[in-house]
Amino acid sequence: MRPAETKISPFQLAMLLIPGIGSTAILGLPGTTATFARQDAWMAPLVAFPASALVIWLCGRLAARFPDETFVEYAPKVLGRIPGKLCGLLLFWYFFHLDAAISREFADFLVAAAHPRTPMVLAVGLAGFAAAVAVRHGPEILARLGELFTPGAVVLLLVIVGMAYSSTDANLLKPVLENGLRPVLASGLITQAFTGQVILLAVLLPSVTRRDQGVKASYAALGVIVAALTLVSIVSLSVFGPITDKFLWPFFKVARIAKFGQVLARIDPLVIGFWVGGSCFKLAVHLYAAVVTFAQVFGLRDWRPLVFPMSALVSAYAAGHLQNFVEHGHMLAYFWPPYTQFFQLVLPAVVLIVAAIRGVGVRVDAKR
Amino acid sequence: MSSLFRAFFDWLRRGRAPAQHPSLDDRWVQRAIQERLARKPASLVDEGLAGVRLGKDLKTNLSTLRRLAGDAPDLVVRHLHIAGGPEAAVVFFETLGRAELVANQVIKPLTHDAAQAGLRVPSSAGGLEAWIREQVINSARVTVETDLREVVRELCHGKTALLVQGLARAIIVELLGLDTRNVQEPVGEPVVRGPRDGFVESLQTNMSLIRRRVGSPLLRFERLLLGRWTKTPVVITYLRGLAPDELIEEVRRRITAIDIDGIIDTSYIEEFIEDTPYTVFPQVLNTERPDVVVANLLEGRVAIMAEGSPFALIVPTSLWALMNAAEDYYQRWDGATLVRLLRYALVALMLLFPSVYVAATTFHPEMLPSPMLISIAAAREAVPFSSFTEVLLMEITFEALREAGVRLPRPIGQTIGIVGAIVIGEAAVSAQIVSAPVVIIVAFTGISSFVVPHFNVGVAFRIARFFILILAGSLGLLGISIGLMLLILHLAALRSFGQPYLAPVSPLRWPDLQDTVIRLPRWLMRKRPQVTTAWVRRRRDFPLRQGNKTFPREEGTARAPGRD
Repeated sequence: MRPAETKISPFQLAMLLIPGIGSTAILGLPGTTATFARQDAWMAPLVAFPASALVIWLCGRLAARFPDETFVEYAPKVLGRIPGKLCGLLLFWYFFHLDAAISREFADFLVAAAHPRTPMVLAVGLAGFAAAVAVRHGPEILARLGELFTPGAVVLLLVIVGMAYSSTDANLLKPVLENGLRPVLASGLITQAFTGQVILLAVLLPSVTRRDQGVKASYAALGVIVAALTLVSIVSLSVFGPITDKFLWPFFKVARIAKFGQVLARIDPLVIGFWVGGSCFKLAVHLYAAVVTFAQVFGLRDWRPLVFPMSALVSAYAAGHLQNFVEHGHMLAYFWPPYTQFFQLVLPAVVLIVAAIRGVGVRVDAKR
Repeated sequence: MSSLFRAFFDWLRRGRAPAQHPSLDDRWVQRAIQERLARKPASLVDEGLAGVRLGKDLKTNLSTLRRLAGDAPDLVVRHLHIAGGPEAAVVFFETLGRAELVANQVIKPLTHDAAQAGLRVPSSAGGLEAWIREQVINSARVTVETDLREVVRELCHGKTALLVQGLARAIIVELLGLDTRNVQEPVGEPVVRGPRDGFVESLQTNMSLIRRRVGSPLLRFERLLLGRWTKTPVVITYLRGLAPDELIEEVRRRITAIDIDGIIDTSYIEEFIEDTPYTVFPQVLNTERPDVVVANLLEGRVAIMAEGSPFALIVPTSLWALMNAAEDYYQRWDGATLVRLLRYALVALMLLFPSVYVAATTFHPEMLPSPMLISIAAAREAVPFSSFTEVLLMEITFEALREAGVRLPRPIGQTIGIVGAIVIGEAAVSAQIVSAPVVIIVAFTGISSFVVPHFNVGVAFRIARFFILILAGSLGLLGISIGLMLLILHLAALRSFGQPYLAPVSPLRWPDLQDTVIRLPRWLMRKRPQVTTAWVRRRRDFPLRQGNKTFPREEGTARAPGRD
């Protein structure tokens, strides 16, 4: 039952989090945030950074109080059996819903960008299958996959940015803060819905060999994600300017037009390839979280038998719960940000505060 | 009566310590062995002779040995009198030893030299044995055996036994002089610069090739016999203090668990000791080169060799090690690194080139630049097949040509190359069965697949290529991405004796990156790579695999047809 049967190193945790959070955010986010903040959308990740860091801090504190336990295991100790289990179930629902959203986002992009005549169900199902196969191997193998994937993805990102440099125009980023701070904060909240996915730590931290190092590595991973998002936003905005929000995936468009003289051009297939890999990876990480929380809520001894059924459910939900990707975009912009904050910030905060008041768990200041 | 024999043998096999060990002097034992030989000879292979000792009577001993060998025409029994005194006999298989060596080093000293030197023959049996061993026999390796089973085993491994009347022991003299292939340059792993000797089929020669290169007494050879019938000597070798103890223990555990009729080649062992049997990727490195074995021993790994096989196995290994050639270590580091990068790039191309072509022409024509799209479309215009079919056809043709080229005798093999190149390539294009780009792609991937230094890894990648090709033909770019992800996932999940297959890249270990895709100059390689067996230490659940389901068991078809 312990998800920590195979441990991962702090470095591996970071390599798990970066593509496990960043991969879908990079393509979709600049378009959505630009809807609100226009040319200031590049500030959104910076605004989201402290909020997401708070999520990491909460998870770290909780993990310090309850070493080697996941959120689902310590919530009942803090809130009492029934409310605690309920909280665990809520967290499961969050992972499940998020997983479906990732799956949907992936399929939307794939159908629009590369496979216009492929049925949604096939795209969703294939990604779900690949993710489930990965999850069956356990978090350690997922982390190793992350270690192989992340450096390549980062290099590709930098290459695209470098190639797009000639098309950028810094003047498109002006005037700064034309409409005041409010639109920036609003798009910051949208970004937080993505970067706040570091709540994964509530499940993953017990699997890390050294917890305090793991928390540090998570801050670093968050830093990398925020830096990447900022960079991507700046590049997209300075290439497309006021029409950035008209694109669903502005950075993909950037990759399409980016070229290096006559030598290198049209690297968008590579982007699609990495996007498929990254999405499957993100899908797998969250599927793992969903499966483990579910198994722990119901006290199952092993989570592995749940992987394929859960993946099938996620795929079915992903394919069916939305009509089209306009609806999906609308959901991501208006409903999703406040909705996720309940799970990402409120849930751990409540548990930590109650634990502190009741004095449950290991005393935090008593450092081991 | 036979139930009595059975009871007796059950008693024998259970090893209930009798007051006195059963010996050949006992007529019951003689008759029991005859009975076994007549009815269930297979059972004598392993357990039937256990615990039986030689008798004092020379005649009985000799007749039993003869009978066990079925009056083999190559079993030589030479009667003699030691220095004109006690009666004795020299027994050996002339097909395994050298008759002139036996004559010079055993028979001549016993009969002629001892008598001429006027040595006094001791009267007591024990004194006689020591006298023969220490003063008469010329050979360096002399041991004494009392157990019939051991004597038979030694005889079958080419040693010579000296039996003396009145002595319930055999003096075993080792006079190995079998004909072996000369040490030659290995055919499979040639180098431009570097040692040119390769293993041969003789275990002793192979061990010597290693021992000569390691001057440390901490070089260990552990010998054990594998195979119920063949009793093949197998050697585990490592450097004590460099190889982790858990690793050595695990190698021992997996090898001793092997139960099989015979070991013909180390590849038999490889299949038993792999962590994951259901994969196309080899998890054990095999090499014909003693220098490669020694280099790996120095990095703390363990090698396994067997009699009759010129290939040593090395565990644990990783994908990176399997992609290296011995040459990389003998050429300058910069050149070696570039060659390695080229090798990885070509393997990636070999995996993806045909698939990307199929995906691009079938699903994503918009991805190709317009001039290229037009020229490909023009080439494909008259071709009746889909590009997937085209590529698959040509790939299979190429594999067939390759296989035919390997299988055929060398002079005809070249013909195949010419026929393949001209007929299949040129004719197929001009007949517009396939388009020219496909021929280029297949030829290119064909060449690329041979840059992998280890043949079995090349095979693995070629199989993976077909897997991705099928995905590309059905799902386009999505299929390629998913296939590639599953492939990398599979590689990341593999282990070789507990060590992750992609280590040290994933899980990352900075210092060990010195010798993976790149090779640092020697003076920068300060630290020995870490040989991890973490998983083995934590979970001892490696499934031990057993062989030969068809081995005739106790109640099986033991009676062989024929004169047995």
